[in-house]
Amino acid sequence: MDLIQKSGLKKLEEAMTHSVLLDTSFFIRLLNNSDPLHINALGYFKYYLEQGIRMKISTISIAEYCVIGKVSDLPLRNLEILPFNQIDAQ
Amino acid sequence: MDKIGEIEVKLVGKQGNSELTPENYDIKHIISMLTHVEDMLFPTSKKDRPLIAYDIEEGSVKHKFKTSIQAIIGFSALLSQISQTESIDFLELKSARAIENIQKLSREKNYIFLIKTSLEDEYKLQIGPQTDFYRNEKIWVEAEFYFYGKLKDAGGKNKANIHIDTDDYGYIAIETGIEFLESRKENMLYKNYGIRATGLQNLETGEIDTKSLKLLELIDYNSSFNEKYIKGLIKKSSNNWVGFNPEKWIEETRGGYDA
Repeated sequence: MDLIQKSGLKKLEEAMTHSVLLDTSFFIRLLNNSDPLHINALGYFKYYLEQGIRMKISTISIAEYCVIGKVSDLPLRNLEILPFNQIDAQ
Repeated sequence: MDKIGEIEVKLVGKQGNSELTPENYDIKHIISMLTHVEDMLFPTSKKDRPLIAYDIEEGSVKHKFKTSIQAIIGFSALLSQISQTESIDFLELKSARAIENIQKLSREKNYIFLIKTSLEDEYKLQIGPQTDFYRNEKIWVEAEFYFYGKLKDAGGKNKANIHIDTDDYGYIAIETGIEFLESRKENMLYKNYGIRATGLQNLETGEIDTKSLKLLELIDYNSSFNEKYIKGLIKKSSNNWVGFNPEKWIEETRGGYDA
């Protein structure tokens, strides 16, 4: 029984995809090569993609980034966007 | 207790000047009713549902469905709730849509639908031209969504759409308009994309009405690391952020909330 449960859990883990929600500061550090933590951010960015971990960014983070930067600077080709709708504002 | 129960949907109405009977009742209405009852009984998953048997009888027209008593008990409770609250807002989307379609047919054809289960003698729910079983539109609001996955179908005879296979929402169809598909030069099939779309979302449950989705934008999406791409972006954007302390700047910008 225990073996079956463990085997089932393993299959479930294999089927699950992991994801990470990245905050604005991550992108500022990733996209500024003079930032002291730039190399760390780039390392994480590469690691997530290579490990099949889905990277998510909220539309709020995009808006914050665009106070100074441009939306076309963000690596949106590799990111999944989380929208902000009326239900999120309640 | 019997393991099988019954649902009866009695229809009272006329076909021209004649009373409605199974002999003058069009098969397209029978097909719709089969789908509606299946959607009301099992709105989320039909894959593992028990057998549903069907029969039609006179009087004017009686649709009779037999299935497991467990499903019938649930359906009976659902009928009571709809009847008491005179609302379908609490229902799963497919069930709500099934009731709306019955309501629509009732008004179009001047039919009265009476619904009960084998657990009770009286009809529990009546849908007629005077009733108003529609979802409250204020609960369903326009929203914007992003879907990511593999594009597996594109086309459609009258209504052009694309189908995308997503991890989060399953296999969904998004209306595109014929012009969009006509203008695409490259083969989009079996490639990963992001899709920005509008549609209706339930303000109470967050549920998305997947029949309402319309394409706004197709986004290139690639989950592999491309050094040239990211280095290009870093080179382009670095000058904007020289001398910035991200944490301090974000704290000042947000003024105490988290994104």
